[in-house]
Order: sequence, then structure tokens, then C-alpha cells
Amino acid sequence: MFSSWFDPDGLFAELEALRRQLMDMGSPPWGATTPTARPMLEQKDDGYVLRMDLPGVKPEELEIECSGSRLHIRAERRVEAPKGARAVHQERRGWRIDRSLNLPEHIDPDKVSAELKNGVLVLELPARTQAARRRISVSST
Amino acid sequence: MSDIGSQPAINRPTEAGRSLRRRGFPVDVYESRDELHMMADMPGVSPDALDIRVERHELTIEGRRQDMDVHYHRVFSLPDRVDPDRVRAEYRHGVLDLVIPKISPAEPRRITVKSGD
Repeated sequence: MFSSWFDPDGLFAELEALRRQLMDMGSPPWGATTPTARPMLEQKDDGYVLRMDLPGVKPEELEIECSGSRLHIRAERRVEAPKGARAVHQERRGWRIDRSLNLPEHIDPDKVSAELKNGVLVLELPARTQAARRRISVSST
Repeated sequence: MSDIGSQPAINRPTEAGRSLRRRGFPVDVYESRDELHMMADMPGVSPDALDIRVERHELTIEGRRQDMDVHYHRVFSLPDRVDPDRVRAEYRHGVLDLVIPKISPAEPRRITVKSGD
């Protein structure tokens, strides 16, 4: 791991902490739903983007709350047979998620936005604006 | 390839030399009096990036994810008693719903035997 002198902003530690929380979320019954079910965290210049596969979850079955720097995600997915039909073969599973994440300090909870599109939840976690980051240009010789 | 409804479905071996990651996806099969339903979890695919083909009684479902290098791909063999030309597809909230109508069994035809006298 990176030691603190190497990571003055604590960003790597933050990222690591966030990632660890996500790993905890990825355990079954969630994990078995799709091959890409594990939440994916992408680091951007100005924060993070978190993606989660929630196939079959309608917007009204998903609840996202932010209180302080705590982000709460609740979702339910039901697997039901179409009317008048019986199951012949089943691989899909129903599940319920009720988890919270501690957002890193430099993330602005007021700016968190969520979109559910084609069964994928995309959470944008932008950084606070005052934490302007310095871009370092690399020169080659 | 897998037979619908008989045993757990298995993916066909993936083609070599592709940069995209080919993935299977979970599928449920339901049966009603007149139809088979296939429900497939394929999150992240926009409806126009879905490719569903039926050739003879072989059903191929493919889909390209936009947000990551994932290519869903699975092949199924359909039972004889369905009509592959009338498959309907709908994609909602990341789930593909395929409706495959059954062929209505023909009424048994009685053949009268004339006596040859």
C-alpha cells in the first residue's frame, strides 16, 4: 500500500476504502446475477463514477439517499413468471440490496447524481470544487 | 449450445482472437399453454445493440455493452414444437424478454377406410 507521505491527499487510501466497501457489497445473492454484477468504480479527474448492474429493477424499486457523507442504496429485484406460465429453467435470481457507503471526504454529497439506464445504475460522485487539483504536465526529453 | 428446458444451458466455446470479452448471461425459461418465454439479464445494452437471430432451430442472442468491453453471446437450440418465425422480443430495464409461440398441434385427421367390395 501507499504510505501517507506518498499520498498527501489521501486519495489512494480513500479509493481503497471505497473499493473495499464495494467489495463487501458484491457478495451473493448479488454477485450471481450477472457476470458483471460487481460494482465498478472508475476514477475521474473530478471524482468517481460508480456503476452497478441492476437488471430488472424499475426506477420505483430503487431508492438512493444521501445523508451527510453517507450514501444509502436500496433496491429490490423480483424474478416472476409471466402470467399463466410456469418455470422450466431458472438461472436468474431475485435479491434485495440495502447498503450504505461512506463517501470520501473530497466528494460533494450535494452533487451526487444517479441514473438508471438499461438496467445499469450510474452514480456520479463529483469532488468538491474547492479541492481543485493541479495538473502536472510531463515533459519528455 | 443448450436445449431449452432440458438441462442447464452451456455456452458455445468462444471464438479466439477477439478483443471484446464474450460473456454468457443468465436466462430463465417459462412455458405457458401457447408460448415459451425467455428472460435474459443483459444490462447495459441499448435495444439497437441487440442482435437476435434464428436459423433453423438455433437461436443466437448477442448484445454489445456500451459502457464496457463486454459482448454478450449465447446460443440455444429451440424445441421443434415452436415457430421460430414468430419470435417477439422486448427489452426493458436491462432484461430481454423473448416470446416464442408454440405451434398448435394439428387436429388428428381421421382417415376413413373404404371397403373395396
